[in-house]
Amino acid sequence: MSQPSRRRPSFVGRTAIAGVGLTGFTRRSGRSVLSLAVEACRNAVEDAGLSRSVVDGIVSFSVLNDSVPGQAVATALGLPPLDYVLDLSLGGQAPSFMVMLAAMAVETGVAENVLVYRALNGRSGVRVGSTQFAGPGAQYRYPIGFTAYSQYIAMWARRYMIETGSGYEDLAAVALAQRRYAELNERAAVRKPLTLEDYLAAPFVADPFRVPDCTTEVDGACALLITTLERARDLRNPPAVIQGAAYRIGHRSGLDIGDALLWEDYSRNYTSLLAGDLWSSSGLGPHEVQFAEIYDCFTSTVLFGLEGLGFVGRGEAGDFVRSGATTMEGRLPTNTNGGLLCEGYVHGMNTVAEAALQIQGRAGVRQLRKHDSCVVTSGGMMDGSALVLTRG
Amino acid sequence: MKGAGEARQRGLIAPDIDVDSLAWWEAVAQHRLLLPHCRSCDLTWFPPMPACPRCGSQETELCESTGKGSVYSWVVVNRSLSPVFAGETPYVIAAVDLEHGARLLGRLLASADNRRLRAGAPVIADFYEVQGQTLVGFRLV
Repeated sequence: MSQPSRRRPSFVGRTAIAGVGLTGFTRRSGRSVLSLAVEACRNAVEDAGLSRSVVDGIVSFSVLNDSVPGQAVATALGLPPLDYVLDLSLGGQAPSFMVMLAAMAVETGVAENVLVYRALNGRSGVRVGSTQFAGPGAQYRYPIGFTAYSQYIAMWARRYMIETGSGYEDLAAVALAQRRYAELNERAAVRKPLTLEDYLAAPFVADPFRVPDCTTEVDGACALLITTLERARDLRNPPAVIQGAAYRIGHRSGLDIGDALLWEDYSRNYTSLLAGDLWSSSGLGPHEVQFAEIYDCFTSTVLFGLEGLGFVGRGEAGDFVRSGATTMEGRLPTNTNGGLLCEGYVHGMNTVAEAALQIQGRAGVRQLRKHDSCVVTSGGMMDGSALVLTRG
Repeated sequence: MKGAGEARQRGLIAPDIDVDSLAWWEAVAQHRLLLPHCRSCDLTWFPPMPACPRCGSQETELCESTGKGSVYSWVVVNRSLSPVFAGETPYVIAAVDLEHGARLLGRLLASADNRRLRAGAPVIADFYEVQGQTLVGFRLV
C-alpha cells in the first residue's frame, strides 16, 4: 500500500552519479576481493575524470564478511585522509541506499566526492545464495531446511501467484525478456538465447522457481562516484542526476534480513511502501520515467517492483512483460543489462551502474533511444531503496 | 509430492537457541507448541522476542497453541543449496497461519495425500526428531 508522501530530501536534484567503475564479472576471478574493489573504485574515479586525491568518502556494504572495508580500499588505492566512511552490513537493499547516503554527505558538505562500491567473489568465494546467515531469526529457518534466498523469495512468489492468479508463464516472461538484453551485453555471465520451451524444461530449484528464475552468482565489483550536481557538470561525463530517492523498511520487518515471520503480506514488498515518497521526491511519476532497472535476484521481484512502483495494476505485471513493454522498443525498457539474472549478482550495485550508464548515453549496443529518466530499485523483500535518475 | 521423507537419513542444522527463545524450544522438546502472547494488547505472535511487536509491552507470556492453522504459502525445495539437506529433496516448507494469528514455517510432514496442498488447506502442527533435536512440522488434515 502506498503511504502518503512526507519528504523531499534536500540532496534530491542537487547531487549526481559522475563516474561508473566495473571489473569483469567471472565465475572465478582468481583475485582477492580487495583487488576487485580497488579496480572498480579506480575505474570509477578515472571515469569521472577526477584525481584520486580529491576522493574524501567511501560507502560500501557486505554480508557474511564477504567484502573488504572502505579503509582497505582507501589504503590500497592510496587515497588521502577521508572524512566519511561507512561499511554497511546489509544485502540487496543497500545499493540505492548507499547512493543516498553518499549524496547526503556531499549535499551537507561532510564530503565532496564519495565512492560507493560492492565487491565480492560471489561465485568462487562466499556464495550469498547458499551460505548460512546469522541472526535471531535463523533458528526458525535453517533447522527445518529453509536455508536459501531462492526459497525465501519463492515463498513470496507463490503467495503472489495465489493472490493474483499469476503463473509460471509470468515468471518466464521476465526471464525471457531479460535474456534478450543479456544477448547484447558482453559483460553478462549468461547470454545463451532462452525460449519458453527451454525455460519450462529447466529444472526447478525451489518451486515455483526454475534455474532461469534465479540470479547468476559471479565474482566482480562495481563502483560509483557521487558528487554534487554542480561539480559533476564540470566533469567528463554527463551527470546522472539523483532526482528522487527513498529507503523503506516495512512494519514488523523481522529479526534479521531473512526473517519474514511477522511480515503480513508476502505478495507485496517494500516497493509498494516507498513508491509514494520516491515519486513525490522526484516530481515525476511512473508514467513519466522512460526505463526501469529493478532489483531481480529472482524473476518475481521484477513483477513485485512493476506493481509496487505503480507502473501497472495488481496482478498485471506478467501480462505487461509478456506484451513486450519491457523490451528496448517497449514503453518501459526494464533491466537493460539482462539484470542480476543474467549479467550476474553484484548484489544490485550493477543494477544502479546500468541505470547510470543508460542515463549518460554510454550503454553501447543496448543504449536506449529515450534515456532522460529512470527508476532503479535495490532489494527484494521487507526493505529496500530506490532512486529516480535523470539526465543532467 | 513427497512429505519430509521421514524414512530417510535426515540432516540437521542445529538451532542457534538464545535467551529469548530458550523456553519455546524447551516446550518443543516436550511436544508442546507455545506462542508468545501480550498481556497488554492481547496479540499472539511468533517468533519469541523480548517485547510485544504491536504495543512494545514487556508483559508477555508463552501460551499453549492448538497447532491448528491453514497454509498461507509454500515452496517445494527441489535443490537444496545446503549439503545437509541434499538427501531429502524434494521437500515442502509451508508458511502456516495458526488460528490465533501467528505465522510459522515448517516442513510439510507425510500425510495421506499431500497432493491436497493448496492455499488455505487446513493443517495441524506435529513434532519430529532429527538427531535428537525436536522440530515443529505440519500435517494436512
